[in-house]
Amino acid sequence: MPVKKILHNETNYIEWNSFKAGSWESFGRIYDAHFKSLNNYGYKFTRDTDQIEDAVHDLFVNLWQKRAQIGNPVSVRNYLYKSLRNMLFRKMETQQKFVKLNAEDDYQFHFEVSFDTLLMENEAKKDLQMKMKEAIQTLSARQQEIIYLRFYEGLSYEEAADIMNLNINSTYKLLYKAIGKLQKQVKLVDLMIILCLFASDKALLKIN
Amino acid sequence: MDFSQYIHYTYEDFFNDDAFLLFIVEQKTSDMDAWETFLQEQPYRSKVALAAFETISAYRQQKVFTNEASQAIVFDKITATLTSTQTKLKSFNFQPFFRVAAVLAVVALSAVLYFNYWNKKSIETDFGHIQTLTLPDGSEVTLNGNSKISYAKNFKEGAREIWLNGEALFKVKHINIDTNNIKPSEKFIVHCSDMDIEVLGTTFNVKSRHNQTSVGLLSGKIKIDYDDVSKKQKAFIMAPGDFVKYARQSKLIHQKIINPQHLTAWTTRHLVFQDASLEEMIAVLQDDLGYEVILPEDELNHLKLEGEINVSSVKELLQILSNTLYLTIKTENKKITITK
Repeated sequence: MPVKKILHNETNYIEWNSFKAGSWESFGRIYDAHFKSLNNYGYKFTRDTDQIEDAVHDLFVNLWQKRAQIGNPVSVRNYLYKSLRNMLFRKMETQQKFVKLNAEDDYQFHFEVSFDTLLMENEAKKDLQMKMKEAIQTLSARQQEIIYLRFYEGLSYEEAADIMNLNINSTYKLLYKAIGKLQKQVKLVDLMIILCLFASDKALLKIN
Repeated sequence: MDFSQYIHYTYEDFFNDDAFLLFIVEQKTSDMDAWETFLQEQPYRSKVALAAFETISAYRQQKVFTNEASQAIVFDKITATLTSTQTKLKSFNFQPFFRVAAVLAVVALSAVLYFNYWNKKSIETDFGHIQTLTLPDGSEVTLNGNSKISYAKNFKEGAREIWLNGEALFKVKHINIDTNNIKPSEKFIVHCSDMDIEVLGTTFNVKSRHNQTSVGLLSGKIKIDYDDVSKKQKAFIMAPGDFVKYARQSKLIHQKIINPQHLTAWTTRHLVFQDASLEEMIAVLQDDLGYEVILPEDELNHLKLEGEINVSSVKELLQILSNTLYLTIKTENKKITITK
């Protein structure tokens, strides 16, 4: 079954170095390659598209101005994700400064993915996604974000830790807890039943 | 990818396996073929792997927000921000000798300016920046990029006078009560390099660059004062829908506005041209947006694009130009090179 292609696009070193040397064309190409996925990531934190666009604007203005000082990140995409995240948080913080009541709440933002049910081709899978959706909603913003970085963006623990400013151990712990919670909701047994239904669908198709 | 390595994996193990995750994220055809074979050849032992696969796939079925419509717009904003800050940075990058000279020049100049303009207030926009402001009398002015207006601090007393260099859209507040008896204090005058525009209360667009001025009147009535070919003072009264073009000591060209939206399209950051020559479009790129356009072959200036262009970004404009006029357009920084 086809999973919708994600948007990510890695920038190679030749492009990156030519940008650092001052090529406006390379800068434009890096912008074009990452604009969509950065917006998609930003949209998980806020639905305020102006704020996302402002953060993307500031990020690239900064990037061009500091191009001489920037090193060679292992992954350009991850570097941009991390910068966008910091940029967005700073913007949201200044906006929230005066309504923040609960300082103990470790995360001041929410993180939300919206599922696409239209693309699901059969009922069993829709059912699985519904369960998944309910389970995801019980997780904290932090847990949801790490699940997203890992299972949607396909990042390793190290990469996710770097973007989220965590050390690797806490990343492991965070993901373990998140998966544990998920498993309580989406039990393997249920999954097996769903898969059997799915398999019999296939078998039926063959008979017909 | 060899999937048989996974037959002893538990359900959780899969979520910690980077290679398995990457396989789902990337879904290379070679891997997908191997995956199908694995499922068919080992229908029971592949069950747990399939469960993990379906779980992650269900999660990955998400709505995507690409914001594609804003991609070009945000880039134009970035370009505008960078050019306005770059010119500021450059002006400080002087050699020591010039630095001293510059300081002296600034002191001398500001002394002159102080005595001449100490009671004037001025507003200037950077390339690509559009700014709307309300004047002390309640009139509204929208300034296009690279434009400047100044007016007396005691604007409200006496005639309302504005000096303009660049392009602006005026919405003048009407304060005259009796049209047969217009007091000087009820007038609103826009001074351009080569003409004066006298107004009561109207909406009109003025573009005054390179000693060339054009005025389009949208509503109301205005009078313009200019010098004719014979250097005689002349006046022309414009009615709504009139459009005039004038360069110092030449004949005034009088036309009708065909499409009033075109005249003010720049206020919404749209680039609109009607049957325009390449020269006219280049002028807008250079004057309003701060691009440097290099055209090695002069005769290209006269190339004309029949019909209407209405775009919201420079990128789109250049695309159209290269496609319809068969030109090669290279952009680097804010430099655009156009060749055949």
